[in-house]
Amino acid sequence: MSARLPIIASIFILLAAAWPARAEVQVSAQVDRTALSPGESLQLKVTIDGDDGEVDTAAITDFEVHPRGSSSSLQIVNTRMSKQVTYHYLLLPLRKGRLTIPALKVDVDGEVYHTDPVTVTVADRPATGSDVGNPDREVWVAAELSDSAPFQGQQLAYTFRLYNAVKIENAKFQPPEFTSFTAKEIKDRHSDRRIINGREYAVTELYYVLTPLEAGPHTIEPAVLQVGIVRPDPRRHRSPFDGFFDRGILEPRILKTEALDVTVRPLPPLQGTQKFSGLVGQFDLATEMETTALQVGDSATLTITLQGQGNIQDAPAPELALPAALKSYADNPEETVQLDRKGTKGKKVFRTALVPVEAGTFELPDIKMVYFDVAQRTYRTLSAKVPALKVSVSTNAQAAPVTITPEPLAPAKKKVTFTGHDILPPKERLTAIQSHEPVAWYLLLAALLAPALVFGCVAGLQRLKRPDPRPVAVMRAKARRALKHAQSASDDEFLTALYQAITAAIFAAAGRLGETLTWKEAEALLARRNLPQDTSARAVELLAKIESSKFGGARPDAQHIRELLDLTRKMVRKLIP
Amino acid sequence: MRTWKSILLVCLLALSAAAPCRAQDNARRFLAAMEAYKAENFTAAIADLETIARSGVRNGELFYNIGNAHLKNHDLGRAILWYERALKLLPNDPDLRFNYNYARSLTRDAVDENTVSLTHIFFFWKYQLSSRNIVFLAMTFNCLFWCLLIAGRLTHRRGFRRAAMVCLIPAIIFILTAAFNYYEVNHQRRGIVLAEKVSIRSGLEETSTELFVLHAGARIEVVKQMKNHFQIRFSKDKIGWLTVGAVGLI
Repeated sequence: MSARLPIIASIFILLAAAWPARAEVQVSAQVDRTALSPGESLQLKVTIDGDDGEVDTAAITDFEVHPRGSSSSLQIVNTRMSKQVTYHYLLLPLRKGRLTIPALKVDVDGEVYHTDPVTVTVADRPATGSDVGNPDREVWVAAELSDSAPFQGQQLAYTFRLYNAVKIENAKFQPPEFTSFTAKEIKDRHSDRRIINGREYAVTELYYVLTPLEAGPHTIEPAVLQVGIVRPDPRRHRSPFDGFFDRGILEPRILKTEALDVTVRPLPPLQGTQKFSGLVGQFDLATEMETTALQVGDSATLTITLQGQGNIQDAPAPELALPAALKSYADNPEETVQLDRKGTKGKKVFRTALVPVEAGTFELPDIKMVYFDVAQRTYRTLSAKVPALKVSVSTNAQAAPVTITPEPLAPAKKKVTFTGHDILPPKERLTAIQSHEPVAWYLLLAALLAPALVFGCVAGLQRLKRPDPRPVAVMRAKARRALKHAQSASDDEFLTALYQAITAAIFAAAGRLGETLTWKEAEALLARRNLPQDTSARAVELLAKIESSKFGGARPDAQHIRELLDLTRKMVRKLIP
Repeated sequence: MRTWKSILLVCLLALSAAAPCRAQDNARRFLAAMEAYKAENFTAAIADLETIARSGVRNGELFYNIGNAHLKNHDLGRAILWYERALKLLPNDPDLRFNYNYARSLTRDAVDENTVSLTHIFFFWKYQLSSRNIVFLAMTFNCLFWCLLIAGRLTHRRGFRRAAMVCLIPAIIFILTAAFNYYEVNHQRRGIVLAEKVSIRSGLEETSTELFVLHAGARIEVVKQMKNHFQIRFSKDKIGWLTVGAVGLI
C-alpha cells in the first residue's frame, strides 16, 4: 500500500497541473482557394484552437453553404492540453465578382470570437481549358443546348460535360427539372480524353433529348454534380503499392453548370388547305405497291414509308382518297425508332390491303403529308406517287362474287374518354354540418365487455341454482320432500313417506347416500357419527316403530298418524340441523 | 347552498342554450359558403367552411366541400388534404372518389411503390368501410356472439353454440380492425405537402443538403417531429426533413 501512494500522488499532481493549463482559444477561417469560376465550389475550414464551439454561418449571404461535418484533435504536451476542432463547409457562389465570406461568429462556452473575413473572386465566365494554367481548373462542368431558339415541338439536345484532369470518385449527378419540356435521357454516355491547352482532360458527356411544350422564353436550371477529388494522403508514406491500393483522401466539391436560356418559337401559321400532320423535323415519304395488275377479289398491299428525324412516333396514318370500287383494310403501323443525340430518328411503315370489287383501271391520287421543316423553317408537303391499278375480271368462275359489305347499322363502339375536366359539385344539404364523432376507445371496450358481463351473470346464477351434489345435501332434500309428502299423503302412502323421511335423515346424518335401512344398520351408522346417545337411540326406536306400523298390517288411526308425523319431524330436525 | 344551486342552474341553462346557437351559426355559415362557392368566391367559401370545421364539426361531406373549394381556388395541397380527411369518414362516396382521383391526377410526384398492395386486397374491409362502421360491426357481432352463447346456455341447444362460433369469426376480425384503426390514429401520422414546392433536406438547418423535392399534394408519412421540423417518409427509400408548416396532417 505504501508503495502505491507515491504513484497515485504523482498522477494527481500531473492532472492538477494539466487542468488549469488549458490553451487560449483562437479561431480562424481558411479557404482552399480564392479564385473561382461560376458553378465551382470552395472549401471553407473554421478552426477553433483550444476548445469546441458553435460556428454561426448565417452571415454568409454570397454563397450557398453546405456543412460537411467536423473533425477534432486533442493533445497534451508538457502538461498543456490543447484541443482543436475544425468545421468543414462547401460554399457555392451565388453571384459573380468579388465576394466576401464575412467575419463568422464562433461561440465558445458563451464567449464570442470572430474569424477574419475572406475575399473570393468569382470569374465572369465559366471555366474553360484556357484557364488551365490555374491549378484550380482541374475539374469543371458545362452544359450546352443544340439550339437556343427552337420551334415548338422541335427536338433539341441538352449536353452535360464533365472535364477532369484529376481522379474523381463518388460522383452524384442531379439533372435540371426541365420544366416546360419533355426530357428523355440517352443511356449511351460518351467518354474520351482531350488535350486542352496542353493539359489532358477526361471528358464525360451525358445527353438528354428535350421537346419544348410551350412557346415563349424558358430557363433550364443549372445541373449539379457532387464529386470527391482524390488527393494523396500526406500522412502516408509512398510505397510501390500506392498505385494499386491507395485511394488517398477525398476532397468534396460541388460543381454547377450555368442556367441556360431558351426562347421557344411558335410554329408559323399554315398557308393553304392542306392539313398539318403535327410532325416537326425532317422527313421523307415513299410508297410501294405489291402489284399493279390483279383480278377482282384479289388484294394488293400498299406500303407507305415515312422516315426521318423528329417526332416520327406521333405521325398519323396518311389519308387515302380511294375510289368506291376499292376496299381498303389498314394494318397496324410498324415503328422503328431510335433515340440519339440529335433526337428521335427512324421510320414508320403504314400497310393497307386494297381489294378491288370491280374490274377496270383505277388511277390513285398521290399521298401527301405536311410537316414543319426545322432546317428550312417552313412547312413542307411530302408527296409520293401511287401507281394505277389494273383490275381484270376474276377467272375463277366458282369464286364467290365480291360484294361490298354495307356498313353495320349499329354505330362502332368507341372507348369513352373525357372531353373536359372538372370536379363534381359540393354537397349542399345541411346534413353536412352534423358532426360524426368517432366512438371513443373506452366506449367500444365497454360495449364489447357488457355482453360478456351479462353472460358471466347468467352463468353465475345458473351455478347458484344447481343442486348441491354432496350426500348430506341430497339426503337432506330427500328427507324434506318425503316429510312434505307425508303431510298430504293417503293412509297407504303415509308410512312409506315417513320411512323415507327418517331413513334419508339418518343417511344425511351419516354423510352417505342410500335408499333403505334396517334399524340395526341405522344404529351402526349413527354410532359412527358421534351423535348424542339419546338422539341415536330415539332415531333407531322411531325407525323401528315406523317399520312395525308399516309392515304390521293394522291401519294406524288419526291420533297415531299425527303422533308419528310429529315425532318424525322433530327427529329429522335433530338429525339434520 | 342556495347560491350554489343558482349558479349551477344558470350554467346548465347557458350550456343548453349555447349548443343550438352554435348549430344555427354553423347553418348560416354553411349556406353563405355555398352561395360564395356558386358565385366563385372560393376564398370566402373556404373561410366559412373551415370555421365550421374548426368549431368541432367532423363530417365527410363538409370536408369534401372544403376540398372542392380549395381545388377551385388552385390550392392542390389543401384540396387533397381535405379530401383525404373526408375519405376517412366516407370511403365509398362516389363524388368524393371522383374528385379525389382528379386532384391526385394533378400532382407532380409519382409514387414509387405500387399503391394497390396486398394489404389492400387481403384486408379489403379496412379500406372499404369507415372506422365508425367497423366499430359498429365489431359491437354488433360481439353482442350477437354473446347473446347466442347465453341462449345456448339457457336452452341447452347446440344450434345456438354453433351459430355463436360462426359469429365469433367476424367479431374477432372487426374488433382487431377497430383496434388497429385506433392504433393508426394515435401512432401513425400521415400528411400532405401543402407548399407548391418543398425541399426535403438531410437535416433541420436551411443549409442542410437537399435530398429531393416534393410538390403540393404529395402524400407522406410523418416519422417523427423535432423542434419545428418533421422527419417524413415519401417512399421506402426517400426520407428527410422539412418544416412543419409545409405539411398538413390528415
